[in-house]
Order: sequence, then C-alpha cells, then structure tokens
Amino acid sequence: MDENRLLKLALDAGEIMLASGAETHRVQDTMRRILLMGDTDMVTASTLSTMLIVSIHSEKDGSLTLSRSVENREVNFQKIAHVNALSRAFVSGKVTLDEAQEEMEKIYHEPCFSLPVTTIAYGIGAAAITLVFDGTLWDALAAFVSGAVTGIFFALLARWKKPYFLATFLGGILAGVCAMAFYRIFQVDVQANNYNIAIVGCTLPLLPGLTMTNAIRDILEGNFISGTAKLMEALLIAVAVASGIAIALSFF
Amino acid sequence: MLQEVILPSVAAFIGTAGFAVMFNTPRRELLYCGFCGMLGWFVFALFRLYWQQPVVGTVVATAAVTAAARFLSYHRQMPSTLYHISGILPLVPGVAVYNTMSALLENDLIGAFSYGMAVLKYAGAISIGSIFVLILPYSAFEIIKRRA
Repeated sequence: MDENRLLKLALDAGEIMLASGAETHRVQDTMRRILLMGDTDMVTASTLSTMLIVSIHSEKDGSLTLSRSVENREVNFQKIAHVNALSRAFVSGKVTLDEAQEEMEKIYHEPCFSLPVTTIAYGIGAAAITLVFDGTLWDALAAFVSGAVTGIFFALLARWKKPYFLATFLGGILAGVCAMAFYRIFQVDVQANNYNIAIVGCTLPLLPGLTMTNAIRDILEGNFISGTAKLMEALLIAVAVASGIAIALSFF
Repeated sequence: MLQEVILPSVAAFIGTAGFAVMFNTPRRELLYCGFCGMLGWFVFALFRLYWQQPVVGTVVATAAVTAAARFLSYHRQMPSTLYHISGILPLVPGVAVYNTMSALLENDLIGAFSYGMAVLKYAGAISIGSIFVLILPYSAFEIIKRRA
C-alpha cells in the first residue's frame, strides 16, 4: 500500500473529525487504525489541540511524517459519524484506499441541513428550552422569534470562515437585541413575563457545553495539552456570549 | 408532579431535538438525542422537587445521560458524543451564566460572585457526573447484546 496516500487519508480523517468537534482520543484512535493498514505497525498518530501529526516507518521510503493544523471549528455530528463509519469500513477491508479517499472528499463537502430547517429547528429548540426553564408562553414566543433570527445568522455565517469568538459574541448580541425588541414591540408585560429566560433559551446552544465536556474527557484520557487548551476555549466562549448579551441589554 | 416534572421533560425532548439539528446530527438519531435530553431533565427535576437537591440532581442526571449515551452508541454504532452533548444541553447552567453577567452590569459584585460560583458548581457537577460513567470500560455497556 502507498504509504504517502495512507498518511494523507489519515490526516484527512483526523482533520474532519477534529474540526467537527470530536474528542481527541477518538481522532487519535481513528488515525492510528487507518495507519495500521500499512505494512508496518510502527506508526504514531497524535493530536495537540489544533495540530495533527502522523508518522509511519516505511521500508521503501524511510520514515515519513506529515502534520497539519486545523483551524476550522464547528459542531457537525454527521461528519463525525460518517468518518467513523468510513474508517471502520476501511479497516475491515470493505473499502479500498481509492474509494476511501473519494468518500472522504465527499464527506468533507457534505451539505448541512437546509436554511429553513435549521431556522425553524433553532426557533423551536429555543422556545422549548424556555418552557423547560419555567418561562411563560410569551417568553417562548419571544425565544422562538429571536432563536429563528439567530439561527439564520449562524447558518449564513457558516458559509464563510470567521473567528469563532466574534461569531458567538455577535450571536449573543443578536439574541439579546431580538428578544428585547420583541418585548418592546408587542408591549409584553415585563412583570408577569421574564425576558431573561427567553434570552437564556436562545443562547443556550452557544454556550460551550461541547467544549467543556470534551475538555474533561481529554483530561481524563491523559491528553492534558488538548484538555487544558479546550478549557480555556470554553472560558473564552462563555465570556464572549455573556458579554454579547450584556451589550445587548445595555441598549434597553 | 405533572406540571413540575412531566411537562418540562416533554419540552426538554423537543428542545434537545431542535438544538440537535443545529449540531448537524444525522436525521435518524434526532429522536434518540431528544430522549437523552428528556431523561436528563426528568431526573434533575425529580431531585429538585422531592429532595431539594439541584446540584446532586445534576450529577445523577448527567450520569444517567452519559450511561444512556454509551448504551445508544453501542446499539446504534454511532459515536457516543452525539447523544452525550445533546443530552446535557438542558443541564448546562445557562441561567447562572446569564445572571452573573447581568449582576455585573448592575454593579452588584456580590451577586455576580455568588452566581459565578453557582456556574462553577453546576459545571463541576456535570463533569463529575460524566466522569463516573466515562471511566467504566466499554464492555460494561454491552450487557444487552446488539441485534446483528
């Protein structure tokens, strides 16, 4: 088997998984399994926060090492699931190297849910979570509207690359402004209803639940550098969202 | 019971499934994600109602969600992260983060500190609840065999 292409396949798999929010252990394990399909078992696959390093000891070409830095960051479980399934199929020999490479390319460009679907889903999610936190029906309605607007914003933002701090910060501002504007426009009784809960409802998925959990998992599994880096990332995202909301509230 | 536990749990089901779409969960797994969210909030609400222990409730609820996620991951051959992240979403201390920030805005430093400590408390509870189940070996979740 061609070692250079094997290395590239492993890096592609690792890049997609890391960029989609998989935990470090899973990324390393997947890359390692792919590399072990070569002729030698002297392989290394390691992940340092946003950096992937793979190396293989090839008899033909000597020692080969490739590295790649992963900058893109989004949560995309579908890509994780598909790369996981593909690597299993490749390791069990059902898929050849060529097919795997082609398939990996397809997964990389895989479409997300369409814009109307994500918008409605975000709105419904925000409204339902508002009800979970003891909000009234007016709160749920406000959360639905501002959630839908935030959903559109994020779907559009995903089209081009952006620093994620800015995205969550702007998302916090947008959610806060929309919710407050809703209460103003419809003259909702602020005493009986609680706009705080509506704002929390639509900013909940922006909070770093995934990053926190992955950080803990990483630290538990001994990947201390990735884990502590992710803890800092979680802190940064939480501060970004919170300060976004704070700015929105200070307008009203 | 109905108003304090059952109805919010149903709402948590819908909310978790809705937000799972934002995370690009595959279509067939959406209902399972919703189930994890419902389970987590159900356990949490029970603890809050009958024992007045929201923090212990968070630990137990997170442990339940993590266990469910790992069972589902074995039976549906999907990464467990998928169910786990969606499931703990309602338990993430969003209200406390918000309150911290609004207390800071009102220059209520003592309030901000106490809300901030609440954030740390709940975040820690979620971590501990996850850790208890994550340290179990994979084979612990293969008790009920998968249909081939």
